[in-house]
Amino acid sequence: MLPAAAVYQFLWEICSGEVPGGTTVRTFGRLSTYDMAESEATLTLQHASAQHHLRVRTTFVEPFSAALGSYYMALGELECDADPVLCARLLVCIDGADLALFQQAVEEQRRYLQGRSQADNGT
Amino acid sequence: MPRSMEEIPSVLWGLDPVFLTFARLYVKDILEIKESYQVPGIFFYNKHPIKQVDILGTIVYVREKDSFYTYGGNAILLFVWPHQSTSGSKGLDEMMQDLYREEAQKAKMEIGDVIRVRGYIKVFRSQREIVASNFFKVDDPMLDLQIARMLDLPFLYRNVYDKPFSIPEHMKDPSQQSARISLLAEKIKVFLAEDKIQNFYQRELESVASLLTIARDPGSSATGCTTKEIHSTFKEAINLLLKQGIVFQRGNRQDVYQVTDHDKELHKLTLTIIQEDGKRHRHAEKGCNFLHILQCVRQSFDPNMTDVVLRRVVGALENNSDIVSTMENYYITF
Repeated sequence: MLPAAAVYQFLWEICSGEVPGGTTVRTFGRLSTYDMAESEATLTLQHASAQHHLRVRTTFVEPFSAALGSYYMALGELECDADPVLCARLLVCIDGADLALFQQAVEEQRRYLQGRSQADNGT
Repeated sequence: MPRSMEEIPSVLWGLDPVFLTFARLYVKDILEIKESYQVPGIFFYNKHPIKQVDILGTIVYVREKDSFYTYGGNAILLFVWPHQSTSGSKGLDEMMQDLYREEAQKAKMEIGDVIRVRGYIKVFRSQREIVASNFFKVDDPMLDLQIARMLDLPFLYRNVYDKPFSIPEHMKDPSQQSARISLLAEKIKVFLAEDKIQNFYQRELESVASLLTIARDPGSSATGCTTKEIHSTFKEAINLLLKQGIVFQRGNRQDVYQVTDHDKELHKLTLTIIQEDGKRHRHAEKGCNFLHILQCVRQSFDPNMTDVVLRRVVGALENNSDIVSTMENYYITF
């Protein structure tokens, strides 16, 4: 079986609980902590004057060279118990990427797909 | 079947530029687009025939060494890596094998690699996959290419793929009409030759049943073709024959058409001109020039005589060996 499609979700959207558990997501953030013994890392991102934190389980992607303070793109399934945890299947460093432009691209893509599904419903 | 009616006939697919390009579709669309009932392996997005696709994605799953699963923007698909296995390489030179191994090493894909694939869509065990005709690893640590692609796709969709492909208007209806006119002209030509008709009125042709059936539009046969439409179809067909010089009009009688091949007077006159003028000293050696003949015919037969009609007459005379051509455009009698 193929793994499910990953949809881009921003870190703040995941943290706010908008995204249901079990979905496959792609998100990015700054690596702020990494606990090798627990295989757990934290991605942090500032959005609208608030700091958002997301716990990431790194069991599947170890070993990886963790550079604290660098930006990472994570892809995996979301587990929601009390607090969302991203079970990462992919974790890549994306230092130097134009994140503002990236965000714009994601929004553009959403806008297009939304517009299309609305047009489909309309007809 | 209304659905099959929607599909554009395969002959016309080439008119759609999308057909020949590697369409950059969302993987989601590649999985959902409808397969053609005419040609399996061709798919339709919004009436655009899709033969091959171009995707950019991250590898998320690797299986068996010869196939990969990749991630596109929104969904997943399978991509088969044509394997460079060593089977059957027994007789190969050792150096070549080393080269292959090195190449395979470079082409080896791992989870997390970004790759760009071009290929065609194949349905395998009722699952769609892309068979790569071309693929390469994309070095994109700064996401530049991925961002560019994410911005490109909505633009491409809005401006190209979402605009339904339709056959250009001038190729649709008139082609049938013009085909009918040329067919009718052809039939009239045969009819005139078989019945050795020397001249006719248009309304005489319109009363011939075999010609009338051709002139009728089969599409509007239910409602019945108006006589006006039939009239204009005949008119166009006769115009075509006029242009070809098969028929001509003489003098002021615009409603009578003379059949060139059966106009004995014209043939005789032309022959006489060539005979008489050929005797003159000036023309004795080379014969008469075509333009000279034309001028004479215009003077004595019909001032509106056209080039093509006379060419046909001269050609017929030459075929009968009444005259011969001494050099291009010069004719002489035996």
